[in-house]
Amino acid sequence: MNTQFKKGVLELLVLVIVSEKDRYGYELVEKVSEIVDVNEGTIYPILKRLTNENYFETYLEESKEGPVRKYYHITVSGKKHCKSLLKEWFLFENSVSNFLKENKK
Amino acid sequence: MKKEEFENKLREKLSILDAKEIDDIIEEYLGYIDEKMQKGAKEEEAIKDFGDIDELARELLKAYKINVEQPKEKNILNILVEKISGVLDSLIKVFENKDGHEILRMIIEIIMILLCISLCKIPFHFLEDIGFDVFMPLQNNFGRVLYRIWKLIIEFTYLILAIVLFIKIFEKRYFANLETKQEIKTKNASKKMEPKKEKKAEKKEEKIIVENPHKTGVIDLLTTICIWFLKFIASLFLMGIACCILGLAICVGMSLYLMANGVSYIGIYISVFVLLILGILSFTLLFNWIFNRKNNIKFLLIGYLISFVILGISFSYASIEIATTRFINHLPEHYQMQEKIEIINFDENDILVGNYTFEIDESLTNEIKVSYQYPTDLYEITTNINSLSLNRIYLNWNYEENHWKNRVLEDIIKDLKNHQIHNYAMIPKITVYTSSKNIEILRKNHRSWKNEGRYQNQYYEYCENLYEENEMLPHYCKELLFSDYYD
Repeated sequence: MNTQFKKGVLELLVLVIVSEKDRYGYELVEKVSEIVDVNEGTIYPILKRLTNENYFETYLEESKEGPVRKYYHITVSGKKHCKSLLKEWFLFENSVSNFLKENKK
Repeated sequence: MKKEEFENKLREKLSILDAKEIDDIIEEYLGYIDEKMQKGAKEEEAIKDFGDIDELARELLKAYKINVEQPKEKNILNILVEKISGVLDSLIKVFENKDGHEILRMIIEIIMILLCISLCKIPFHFLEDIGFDVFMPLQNNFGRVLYRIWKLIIEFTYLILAIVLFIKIFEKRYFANLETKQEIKTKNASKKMEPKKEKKAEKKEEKIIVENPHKTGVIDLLTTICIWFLKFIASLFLMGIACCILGLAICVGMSLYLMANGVSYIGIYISVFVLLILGILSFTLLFNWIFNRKNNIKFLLIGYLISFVILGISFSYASIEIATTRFINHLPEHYQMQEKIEIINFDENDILVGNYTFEIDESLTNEIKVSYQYPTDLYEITTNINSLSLNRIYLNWNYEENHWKNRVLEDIIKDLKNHQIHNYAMIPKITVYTSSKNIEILRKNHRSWKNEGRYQNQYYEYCENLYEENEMLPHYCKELLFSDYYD
């Protein structure tokens, strides 16, 4: 898939996945790569940035398998941001696909 | 690749970041690798999924808003280079975003800004002069050195000020809508954002946000003042262009008149006409800019292009036309010349002021005959010979026009049809008749008056005064000034 498309969408995907349930890093990477094919390294910078912008909070929790995992939890402002991004996405997607359909005819 | 190798490489690439940040990142990524290995992947495969490490590091640094090429320590030069490259980058962005009209407007504004900045030099010149007055009376090399230093400081300050001013105005005017500023803001904030200091960072961000409106307010004011000043200067230009248009319009009228009379200087007519059009185009361009109206850029550009092409061709044709036109240094033959004669008594000490054609007439031993030849169709002269003092004779004359204009105009048109022009500005031809002996005396008197006359004496007096007044002059100066006097 086109990397330019991916870049814009990744942030939205991460926000949606975390708002559904608290997630830890690798789990998130797996979830995202089910949807789009991404390089594992690229998700962390997004997480870091969203945390810096106070959209995510982090906490540590031990797992059954052993290692301590860093979980990401979405904040109130993160939810707001997620909503506005979603709105933008649908508007964008709608107008682009409408245009493409019309052009096909 | 093993885990340790991956870790070391990544650490090296991220060395700009805080140690704690690097630890966080490495920990996270090693976590991913462990998870993968638990699910049955091989170590190498798990690491391979991260892709190129360089790419990964660049991506990470970008997330921290750090430019990869940026060195750790900054000096002024680096900042300058960075700024310039930043300006260039955003310049390209601006050109991508804006249409032709805006670019043209930008170019005009940049020229105007430069003009403004060069006008700002005036107070600095004043400061330099003050330095000269203060340091130069010290009368030795120390004062000179101090003055040089003073000058250097002022020139340098002006240079820096000019550059900063230019960048500020430019940034404010053209890059306000781009992301660059926001990036800088978040860069400042995110650099200091570590988990523990999050609250502090928040405060800092607030501060930045509070400070910015105030600053931009001042810059805004400055920019608007500058723009108004530029517009003022541009309106002065506008008046100049308007005058040019008026003059050219008159020229076009004249060429139309000549054309109607059958004079064929096509190159000159077209040049004048195209110049008029160029004037009008420039006028509308500046006018629309000053009063914030939209310029029809396509129309203007095409207009300019066509005008310049035609102008080039017609100019070269016009120069050929001018070169092939003959100039005849007398009046046309049908003008009647009249002669007016004056007789003066001759004295041996008389000096005739001015250079005239002499003719020998041996019959005039005690008199001088002066003949004025003039075209009576054009003007009538009244002679005015006077010998005021010291035997000097002045051969003056005044003239009165004889309603000659219409007639000369007809003749000029006739001339131009034949691609020639006579000298219609002929002054009366003055000839002096007297005996050969008298001519000799007159010439001699004239020469001696020129060489040893009062001018020479005045010059010596002047030198003498100068010598007395200027005891302070250096020795070599005196020698140069008075050498021929003392010889």
